[in-house]
Amino acid sequence: MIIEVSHLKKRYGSLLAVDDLSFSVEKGEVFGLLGPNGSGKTTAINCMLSLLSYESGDIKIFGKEMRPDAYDIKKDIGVVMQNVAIFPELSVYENIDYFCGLYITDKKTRKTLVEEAIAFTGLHDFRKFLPRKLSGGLLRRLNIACGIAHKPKLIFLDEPTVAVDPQSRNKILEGILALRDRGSTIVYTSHYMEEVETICSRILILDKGKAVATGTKEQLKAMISLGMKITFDAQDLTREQLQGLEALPGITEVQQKGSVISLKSKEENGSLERILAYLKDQNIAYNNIHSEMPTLNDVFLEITGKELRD
Amino acid sequence: MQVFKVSFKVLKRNAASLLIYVGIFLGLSILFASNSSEQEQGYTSFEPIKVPITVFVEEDTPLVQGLLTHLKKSAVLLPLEDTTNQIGDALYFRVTTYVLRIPEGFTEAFLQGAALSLEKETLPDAVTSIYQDLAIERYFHTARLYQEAFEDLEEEELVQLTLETLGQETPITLTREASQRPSSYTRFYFNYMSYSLVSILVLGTSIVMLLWKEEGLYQRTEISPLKRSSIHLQKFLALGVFALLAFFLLSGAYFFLHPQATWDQQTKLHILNAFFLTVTSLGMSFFIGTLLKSRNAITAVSNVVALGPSFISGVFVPQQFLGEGVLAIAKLTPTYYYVTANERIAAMGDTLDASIWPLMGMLLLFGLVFYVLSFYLGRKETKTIWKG
Amino acid sequence: MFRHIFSYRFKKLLRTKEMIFWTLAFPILLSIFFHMAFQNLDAAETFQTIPTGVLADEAYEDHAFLKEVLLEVSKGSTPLLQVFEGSQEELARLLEEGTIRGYLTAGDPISLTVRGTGMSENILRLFLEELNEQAHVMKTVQEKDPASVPRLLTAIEESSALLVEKEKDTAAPSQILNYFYSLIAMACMYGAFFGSDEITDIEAHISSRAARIQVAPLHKLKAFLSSSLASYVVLMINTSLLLLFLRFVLGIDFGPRVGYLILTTFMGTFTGLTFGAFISTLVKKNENMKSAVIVAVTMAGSFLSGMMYAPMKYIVYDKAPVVFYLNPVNLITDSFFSLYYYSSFTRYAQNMGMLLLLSILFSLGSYTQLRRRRYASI
Repeated sequence: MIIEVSHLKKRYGSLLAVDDLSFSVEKGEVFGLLGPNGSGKTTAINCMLSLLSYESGDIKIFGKEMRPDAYDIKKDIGVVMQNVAIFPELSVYENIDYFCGLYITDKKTRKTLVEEAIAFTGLHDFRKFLPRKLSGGLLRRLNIACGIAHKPKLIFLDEPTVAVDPQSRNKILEGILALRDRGSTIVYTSHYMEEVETICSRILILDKGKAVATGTKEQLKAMISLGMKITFDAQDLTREQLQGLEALPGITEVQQKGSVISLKSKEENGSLERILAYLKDQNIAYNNIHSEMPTLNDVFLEITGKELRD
Repeated sequence: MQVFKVSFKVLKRNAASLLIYVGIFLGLSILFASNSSEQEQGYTSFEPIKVPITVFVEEDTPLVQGLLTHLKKSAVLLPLEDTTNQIGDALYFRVTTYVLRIPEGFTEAFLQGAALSLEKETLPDAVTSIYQDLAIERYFHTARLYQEAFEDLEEEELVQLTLETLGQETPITLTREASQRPSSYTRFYFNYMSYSLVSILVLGTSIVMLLWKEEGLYQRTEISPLKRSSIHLQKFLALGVFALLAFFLLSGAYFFLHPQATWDQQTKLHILNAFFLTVTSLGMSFFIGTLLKSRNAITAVSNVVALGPSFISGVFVPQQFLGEGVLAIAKLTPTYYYVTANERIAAMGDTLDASIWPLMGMLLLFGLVFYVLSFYLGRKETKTIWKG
Repeated sequence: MFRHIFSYRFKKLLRTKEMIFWTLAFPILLSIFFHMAFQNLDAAETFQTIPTGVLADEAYEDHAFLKEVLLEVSKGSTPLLQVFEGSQEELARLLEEGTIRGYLTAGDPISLTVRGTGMSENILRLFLEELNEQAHVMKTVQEKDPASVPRLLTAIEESSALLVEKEKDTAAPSQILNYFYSLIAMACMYGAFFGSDEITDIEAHISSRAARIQVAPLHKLKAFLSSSLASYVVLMINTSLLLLFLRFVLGIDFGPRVGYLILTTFMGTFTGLTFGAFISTLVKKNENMKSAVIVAVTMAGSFLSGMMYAPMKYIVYDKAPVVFYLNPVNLITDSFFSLYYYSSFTRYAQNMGMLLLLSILFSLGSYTQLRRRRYASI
């Protein structure tokens, strides 16, 4: 196990930000911490990094107890913080070189590593630029480069794609997978479930400092009763027809908003055919029929009753 | 009026920092005013304060005794241990302000008409030493005159004649206004405001101006339907309210701490002058805040702009000691006009000195120029990227 | 690792223009203002002729001595007095208007009427006192032994000054040097901004950059010291440039013990640096507050050490000696002054010792915060 967190508890005054959190991260995983704003993701990470003091709990990284002076552990960790943490007075190259230099003291090795990091994050055209001349997306890329240049075995990324354009975002996600392929273990926090769904192998869902569910995507989705969601457009459906839809086997919920009808089914297969058959049978004209597998948001919604993004 | 409200709210939130500044500068104003006026009295009143001096006499003759008697009229004789260190320390800390040494054999040489010199030790910036110099020189000069005139005069008689001459009173009449004149505390207090007011205004201005330059906020206000000139004006109004508060605070403090102050014509004019200064200083800080981008730059420039002109306009070193060249440069700053008007108000009797109006006019003119420039700049405002 | 942090910090500092301005350009600009203001202070050239009146009555007509003296002192390119003769009403009006500073009335003794007690009026008073004394001597000699009058007149012509300032082996600094010392001291204290920034960049609860540094495998204190050393070097360069400017451009002579002057400057800069760091550990995030406190303390300290008003220093010593010994700006200026005024180093060493003590106290204060590796919240 790369990371082992047991019964972590952290308070801010009267607020319990992290409440008896336990989980572990295996080597080579992309482990996702998913939860709404204020659920304790960043706090948990900062505790793991020994930046925050905590009331109780054990944190082990690489099998050893994590402490502020555990330099042997720290040298193999890379961090990409939520805020862009760089020096405005230093250029892109200089920033990466500076932070890499806190880990790698040999100049030659470092030079190679910095060049690789620049190539990796696609910042080659901007290497001499000062941060104030970079767009939001580029700054995020710089932020990442500064955190991973020294090729750490374990990387923490805390909401790295906030306020980033789609192009940069995709590049970042690709990059993270490339890092995994290089052999790093990744801990990734976000409140964007699409990202987490895309790249994470295992996910922990946090709400108000507590773990509400852990597992792979599939495992999480299996936890809930929802199998599929179906929507279509239709006009003037009668109440009997709606009730008829709801009576179909497997259908758990039918909602009508204007001309959009949405249904939820327990089953993953078969519901769509039954619905289409019913509509044909009833001679209901429909449009835009659409089916969707449950998302993590649905998981979160069912477990906590809230949306991931408020 | 959103920009106004928010600007003002931010000022309120930063009240602690502002109050620290106000407190310190107010304290300095008071210290400055009371001490400057005390010191000025020391060398400008007609009953000079008796300062401590030390005279080391190596012989005891009627001539020397006569000198000591004469000196006691304007000084207090302080005995000291006659070592270099003791003397050095005493002078350094103003325990004594003047050290005179009368060597043995002096009297005899003097009575024989020899050309002599006496050794004194002073610190160069003790202004009152000039009175001691004069007292001593006049004593011996008078004695010398008598001695040369009457060729064989007994020492005691010589001394007696000398003291008689020196004891002559010169009648001096102070006209009515002069004896009623308020102390110079007022003058110094208001002069110092040219420094303290500007410093306080600049802090408040930088807080507000920097707030709106922060990238996200800047962009939001830019794309809002508010006109740029309206945004600018609202910031300015918020700062105007702040400036008025500062003005009232500093002026009010004057009355509070100087209970003898009366609401007479001079005081009214001082306050009016200070009000014009507030207006102009606001314009100046606003201009600087519009022009510059970072907090440190704004504070740096403003401090120079507050302190420098104060020095060359006669706030700390009175105008009468400044050279023509210096004052010519000072005339390029609004502070000069403020200080000159202040000085003339302070020197006024019952009749109004009309020359103060053009001075105040110049002061306001500077303010007007600053406003115009800052509004013009505000319309062409370039944005700064403030990424944390 | 040390070289890495040091060199990057150095590079970063040289690129922050505002910082450089504060500690270099501002004192230089101010010194130029000082220089302009004080150019005439030492010279006696500031004298201006005093317009004076004299009552043109019978007594005046009869007073040959007074008439002659007034004639003498109105001569030349910069005469002492400019004399107006007039009637009582005329003179009263001129006095009220301010056209004349005072007027004389002949008599035995001659009297003076003035409207204020400023410099000019005092000069008139002193002038008149001497005049009356001389008149009295003449009268006395005339009465006692008229034959002696010619000898008296000769003696009057021959008057010479008696007093001579003692020569000392240490140069007594000129009046204006104290102002420049205060200026240098103020420049030293602006090192506080550098110190404050050092803390900002190492404390994770103040900046994110600092968090990055703290998760890296290096000792926080070592990183802090390497970084602060770079700040200190930049500061020393800045203050050295200031000293050079004062010496070679403005031509200010600091006297023979220049080496110690430089040492004091370096010590003072260190005190400023540690002071700023300490304030930053107390205030933490509020940049406005930090700035306000540093500027307020530095300006107040400068004022109390006599920068704006030279006698202030002695007033503080007299009335609040604790402040005298705790005000870092004052300690610095006093070190300078005592270098040149005293031949022994006792006082100088005392001041330097106090500065060192203050630096240590500030450092310890900062250390209690720096020591902590984990935060309650960031």
